Amino acid sequence: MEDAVSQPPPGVGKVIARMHGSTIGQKALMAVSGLLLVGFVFGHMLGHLQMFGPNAREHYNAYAHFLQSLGELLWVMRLTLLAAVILHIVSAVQVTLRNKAARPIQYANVKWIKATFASRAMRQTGVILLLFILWHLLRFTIMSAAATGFTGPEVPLKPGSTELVPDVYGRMVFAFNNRPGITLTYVGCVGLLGVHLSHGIQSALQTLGVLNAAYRPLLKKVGPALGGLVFVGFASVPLAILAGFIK
Amino acid sequence: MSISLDSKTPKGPLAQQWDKHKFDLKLVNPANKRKFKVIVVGTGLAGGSAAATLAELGYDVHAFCFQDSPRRAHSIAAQGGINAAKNYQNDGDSVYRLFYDTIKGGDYRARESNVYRLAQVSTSIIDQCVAQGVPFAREYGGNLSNRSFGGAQVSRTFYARGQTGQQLLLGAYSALSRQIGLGAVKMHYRSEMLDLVMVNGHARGVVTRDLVSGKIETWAADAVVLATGGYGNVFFLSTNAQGSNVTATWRAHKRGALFANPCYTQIHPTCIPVSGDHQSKLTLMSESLRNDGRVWVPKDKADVGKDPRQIPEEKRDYYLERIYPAFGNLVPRDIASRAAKRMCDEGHGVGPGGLGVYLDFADAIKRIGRAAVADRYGNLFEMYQRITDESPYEVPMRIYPAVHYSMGGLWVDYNLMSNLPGLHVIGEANFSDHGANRLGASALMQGLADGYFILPYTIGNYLATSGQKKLTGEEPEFKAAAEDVRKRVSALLSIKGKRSPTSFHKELGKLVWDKCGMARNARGLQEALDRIPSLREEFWGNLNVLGDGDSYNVALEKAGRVADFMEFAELLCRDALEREESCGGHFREEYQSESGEAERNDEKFTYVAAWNYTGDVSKPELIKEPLIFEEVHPSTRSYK
Amino acid sequence: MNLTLKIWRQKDKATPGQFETIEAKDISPDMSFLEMLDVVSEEAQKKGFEPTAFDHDCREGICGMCSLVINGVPHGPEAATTTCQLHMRKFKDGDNIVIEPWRAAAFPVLRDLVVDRSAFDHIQQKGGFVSINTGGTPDGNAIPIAKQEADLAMDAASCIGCGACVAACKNASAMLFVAAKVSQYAHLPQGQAERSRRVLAMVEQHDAEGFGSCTNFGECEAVCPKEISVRVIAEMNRDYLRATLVGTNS
Repeated sequence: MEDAVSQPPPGVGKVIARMHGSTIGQKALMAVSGLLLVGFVFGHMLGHLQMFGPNAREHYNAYAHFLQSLGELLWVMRLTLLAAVILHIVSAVQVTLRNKAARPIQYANVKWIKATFASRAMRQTGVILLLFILWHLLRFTIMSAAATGFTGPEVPLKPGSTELVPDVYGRMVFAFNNRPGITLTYVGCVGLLGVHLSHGIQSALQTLGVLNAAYRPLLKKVGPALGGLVFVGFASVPLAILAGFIK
Repeated sequence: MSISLDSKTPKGPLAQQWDKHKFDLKLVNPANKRKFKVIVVGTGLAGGSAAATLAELGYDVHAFCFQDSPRRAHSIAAQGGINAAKNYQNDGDSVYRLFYDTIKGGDYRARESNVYRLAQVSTSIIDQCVAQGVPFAREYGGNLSNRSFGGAQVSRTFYARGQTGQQLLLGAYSALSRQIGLGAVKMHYRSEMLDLVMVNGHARGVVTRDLVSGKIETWAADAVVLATGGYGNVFFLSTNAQGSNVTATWRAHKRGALFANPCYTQIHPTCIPVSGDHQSKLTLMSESLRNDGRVWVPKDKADVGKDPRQIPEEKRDYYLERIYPAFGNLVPRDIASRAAKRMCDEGHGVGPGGLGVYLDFADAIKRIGRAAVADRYGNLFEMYQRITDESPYEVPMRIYPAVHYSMGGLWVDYNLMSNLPGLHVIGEANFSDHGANRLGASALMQGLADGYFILPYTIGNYLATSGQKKLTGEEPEFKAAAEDVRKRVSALLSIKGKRSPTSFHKELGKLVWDKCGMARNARGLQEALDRIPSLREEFWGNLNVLGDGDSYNVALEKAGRVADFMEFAELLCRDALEREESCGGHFREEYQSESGEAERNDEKFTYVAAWNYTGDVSKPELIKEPLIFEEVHPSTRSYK
Repeated sequence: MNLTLKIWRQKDKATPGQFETIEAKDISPDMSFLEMLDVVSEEAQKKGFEPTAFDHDCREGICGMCSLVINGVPHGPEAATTTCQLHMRKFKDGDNIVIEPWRAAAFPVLRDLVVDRSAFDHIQQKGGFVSINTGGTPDGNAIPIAKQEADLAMDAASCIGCGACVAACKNASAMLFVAAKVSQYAHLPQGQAERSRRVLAMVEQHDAEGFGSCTNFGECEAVCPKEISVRVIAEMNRDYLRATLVGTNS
């Protein structure tokens, strides 16, 4: 194959050019950043699920305190997530622009045979999720508790402990208790997250070439299963608060 | 003027002829090859493999196809397989046996030396295709799988599911694509050759029409290769692709190339019958169906319209088993086809128009079970059901013979060069190798043999010795040929009559099929010869081609091809009339035994009939190339 | 039966096209879809209208020339079937049928329903081959190939290059086409020497032709007349990423 491959700059430059500039490279970057975010989403969800069970307030507050105590490491995590989000969005925009150009004239009549709703709505669910994340960050990370109207006092880290920590548990309950509008918006958004992931996870696995013949049937089900799990996990906490199970 | 034909057949023992000949061929210096431009028209198995190989050798190749890509060529539709004398199955196959089978199968109407060479190079084809990544069927041990095909007594057929033609074509296409990518082949897509340009008695170029823009262009070269396939579509209904046509070879014929044995046309017995006037083509189903299916018609004409399942066993005529007890349902293609026609002519035919016989799998299903039948023939049954809406698992299939392949074509010598110096003809477009009848799985073999392993050697000899000066395409001969083409295109457009090109094609096809189809006789052929000129006159007086010549115009494309079929059909019938014997695909009703078997006349007709255009389509000159059999001795084919 | 056809008509690449409504009368259910169009064209010509141009050739489902998006689905409603093998009995008397060309920036319309698919040839020319010359090849049985691998290669190789995958893809991506070729060679020993260079070169050309990226909807495999699985795309992605990140082996 004499001159079939064009020669981009050697070494790392070549890798970046191919990853950044090709259809498969862009999708792979979207897949890797997406899977990183999926990892975070699961960690985040497991954290929230500590709102259930005996001594939930202590467990949850301790978990929040642990995260805060990570210091610089926390910032490393935050910046990594930020980078993943930016990469995810940038590659999504690139892919979208290319794809729009690939079909300048649309069909008068389109009938989908296999494409799921989740797959067709990736772009829309993606944009809504971005807005949701910004709103969510604003409410729980950027604004101080006081600014959101939560006035609960600091509580001991453990029963009998003298170390006082912010009552993040209480803040959560405050955020959803008796606020059906906010709760349902939140539940709706994590629903969209589940939808996004149900296609996104298996799409990412396909893009990265993990779906070989042997794993294929199993991995094709992984996306929807995990998407459903994410929805149930995230929606259960605010719904339980609204319903009064968590006080 | 009369032409004397020199087949340039090498002397000496058959087995050494090709080696010796290769040594005697003049070579072109490697550094000089790029200075020689070769035009290849048609990019199927033969043309694609030739263009790729010539470019690999260093020639400057220009290739043309009328389709949108070389990958569409009709070679793609071959299902069954490709023969090669590999003897991988250790069942006694050899180059000699393949040679012998091919000569005999061709009813002793082919040149021994050409056929022997074909059998010799057959083995290299398989190696070549495997190396290209053609996914032939394999055994569990990893070796290539073979099957027996078309009545051969050895398993020498290599295959890739039911898509062997496709895979071999895509292999040639991949080699061609590589050369296009390297700039060694300049590929012209959707370009139809409309004339051959002769300069100083040598074939030096072509005139083409760009089917998208309508632009008429001339191309000069040092040699021209035609690989433009067969003429089966003269019958309108055939298993050929819609675009398959005779135009390139016919235009070359009118520039002086001899057309050999046009009456040798092959009819394939297992095709899906016609369902109505709308029918545009006939679909072939693999011959392998006859391995398990039983062919029958109702004994009683009154039963013809009945549900076949209601006709009891004793009222069925399993005529192939009855007439040919030794071979039964597995008799060769021509025999099975003619027997079906006879049954239908006698009023036993079933289905629309009474043109069909049953191919019944009920016994096979009983014997080996539905699952086993599905395993062997499932995809064919599906195809049949898609077209006819009947399930062969429940109701017997209906089949009828259809035109499938043309053994005749432009006359070529041992170097695959026509009588016009510089004009080479390969694949189905030439007349060589198959005689009067082609064996199953041999068409792919011949196309690739010509393109990969024969023409690339022999064309060098011509180029090294022709001594012609370089041309630019601006010479008066090119301008005149382009002007002829332009005039012809505008003539077709300016008739403004009432009938479409297709309506003429249908009428011509029906006439040729009725009079010069599966069975022919002098009276019918004479009727056709009387009728064709007047039909042609009507064509040129009453044709209606809408649109213009400067754009994509499907009706104009079609009209040009039908115009050439109108002339070619006459030569086909004339050749059939002149050949007063029955051999292979050519069956003259006057020349048959009492039991209806074909009767050859070796004394009078052991020759190639090569027709020369004299300026009057109706008065061609017959030139004979005697066939000499030194190795095998013609005998009667018997399958009883 | 009688049908109402809404057919895309376009004079050439440069002129914008539009739909034309044509009544198709007395259509037999035994006709193939293309034979129905033949009949409609013959009738139109009698009335002095130019016939509709559409690509077709073998009419037995193997050459890959026929196309047509029929009521929103490339090659029409029947699975694993090319347009030429689709029969009118799949439609009902009185049906409205919308017929459009493949739509993709990389497949410009040449006339009516005919599109230019030479982008596929260009991709093939970049790497869809094994770089060997004619002659000098080892015996066909010199390298054993496991039947399973030969079968997987054949599954991919059965692609007819019709372009339905591009037509069906929301992004007009040709990944299934490219991957089928890449996968065929990846499963054969003959394809190994150029495995990395091939996938890089073919994907690069795919992108240069203006096809979109794979969106993993699976519409391509749903309309593929040869039922080629998107498995081949996963295989190609893996090969591409390996070639990019680990380096080329040739």
